Amino acid sequence: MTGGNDWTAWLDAHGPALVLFARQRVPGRADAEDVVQEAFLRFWRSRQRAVDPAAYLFACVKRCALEWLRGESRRSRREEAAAREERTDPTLLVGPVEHEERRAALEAALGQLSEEQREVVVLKIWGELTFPQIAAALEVPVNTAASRYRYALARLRAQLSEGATP
Amino acid sequence: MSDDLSSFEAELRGFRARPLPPALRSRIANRLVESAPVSGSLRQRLALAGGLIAAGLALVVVLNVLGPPRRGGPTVSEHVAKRAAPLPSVGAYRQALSRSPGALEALLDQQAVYTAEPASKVQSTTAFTPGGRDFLIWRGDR
Repeated sequence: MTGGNDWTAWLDAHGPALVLFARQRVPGRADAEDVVQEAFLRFWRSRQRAVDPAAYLFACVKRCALEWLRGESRRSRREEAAAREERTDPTLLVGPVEHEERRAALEAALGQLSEEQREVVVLKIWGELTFPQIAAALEVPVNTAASRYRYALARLRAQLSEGATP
Repeated sequence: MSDDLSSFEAELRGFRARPLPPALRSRIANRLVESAPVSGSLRQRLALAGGLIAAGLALVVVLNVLGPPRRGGPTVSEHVAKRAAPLPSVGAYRQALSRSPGALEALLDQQAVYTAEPASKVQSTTAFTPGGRDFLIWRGDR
């Protein structure tokens, strides 16, 4: 578990999942990295007040992503970025080369989920948070977080099965 | 959760989120350095130094308000009281002379002992000059 005053340990442990989580809200990876940068700085300055620092870190990312989306001055930049990222955005996930097709299908299936479901899946699978932590990060009841996850996982599985069927 | 979903979860975990680019780490490191607060020990030292300076200034102000410190030794009024008590009056000399030459001599000796004190102490009394007009008026002699 990450702890203490070593910010690099926190970034090493959670950084990739933080960008993936932010990417569920903002259109491009570069924007997601900007959001994570801002969120991490906020988290680091105020982490002592957090009951659960890991959950708080993801909550900071969500808040920063929402603020980023609300930024009126960034609207045109966002649209430009979205158009650019469609061509150049790297994949969200990495895995064995032999599973490249499966990875692409998984990313496509994730894109079909609602934003709320995607968030829960990302936090549980790649953020490795518990349901109470997910509930704290998203500010929803624990049961809500758990049920969203179950529905999302079932839907993902169904979509991937359909895709795999010739 | 069913075994199917558990195995599906395991499959999903087989894929990893894309690693952070080094540029993002550098940006975060730079921003953390820029916004680093003054360390606790340095802050304490600065506060201590500031407190000492403030205390010193307050002391200077208080000393200026109260004036120069009082030196040791008697005040002017104490000098006067000390001098007035043993100093015989002209009438006392007359009475002593009328009694006997020895009585006058004893009185003169008494005055001689008094006037043997350092002159600077006597001169430091500015309210009256011994033998002066004001002194005689104060004594009741004209």
